[in-house]
Amino acid sequence: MEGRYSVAGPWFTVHKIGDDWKTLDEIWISNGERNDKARVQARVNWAEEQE
Amino acid sequence: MKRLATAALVLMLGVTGTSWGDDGASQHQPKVIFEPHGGSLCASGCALSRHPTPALKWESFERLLADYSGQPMSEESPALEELLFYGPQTAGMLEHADGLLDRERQAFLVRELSRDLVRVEFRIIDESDTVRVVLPPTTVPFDKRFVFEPLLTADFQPPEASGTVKRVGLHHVWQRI
Repeated sequence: MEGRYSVAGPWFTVHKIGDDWKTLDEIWISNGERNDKARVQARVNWAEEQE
Repeated sequence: MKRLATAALVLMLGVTGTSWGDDGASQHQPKVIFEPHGGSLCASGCALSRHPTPALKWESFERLLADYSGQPMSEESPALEELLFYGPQTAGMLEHADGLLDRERQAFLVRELSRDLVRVEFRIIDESDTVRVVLPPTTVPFDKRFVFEPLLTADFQPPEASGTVKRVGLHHVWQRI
């Protein structure tokens, strides 16, 4: 694997602040022995001091 | 179950959320690195540099205030949404706009413009609902590009990630990650 790498993204999205996880994409990931389908997710909330 | 998996991963690796000051400088947290990229205005992310917030002209600002004066203090107001989209530019101009807004709307707008920190989270979760990669709740200011490293992983090689968040309305933000 030396010298080899994979790239995913970038992802661009609009969030409603405080919403639950938003799925941005579905990708394949691997630990070198097994491949798995996975969801890329993000969420955004106000910082606690600014809620 | 998903929350348990995330919590377990965070606890297992002994990491808590990170926080940043208004100037984007680190506050003793090694997990998030402010990395300027590009030279545009208040934006420092590569995506924002390519799509910078346009300059808000005074005439447009006055028109937005006039429109907002007749609209609700909610996301039902297109003018309020646009004023918040311009963020720091609106805040700067508002200091020279005495009497252009009623007191209640001005206070609401000033309060909203002062909210400039968000908590971002990111994860990659597999089909068995195991969280394989997670960025724990991490506080960042708007309009700055951050590199998050290392992300916490389970049975997965540590990836690199960077991102930027920009406010685009009363309840909405735009994110690149």
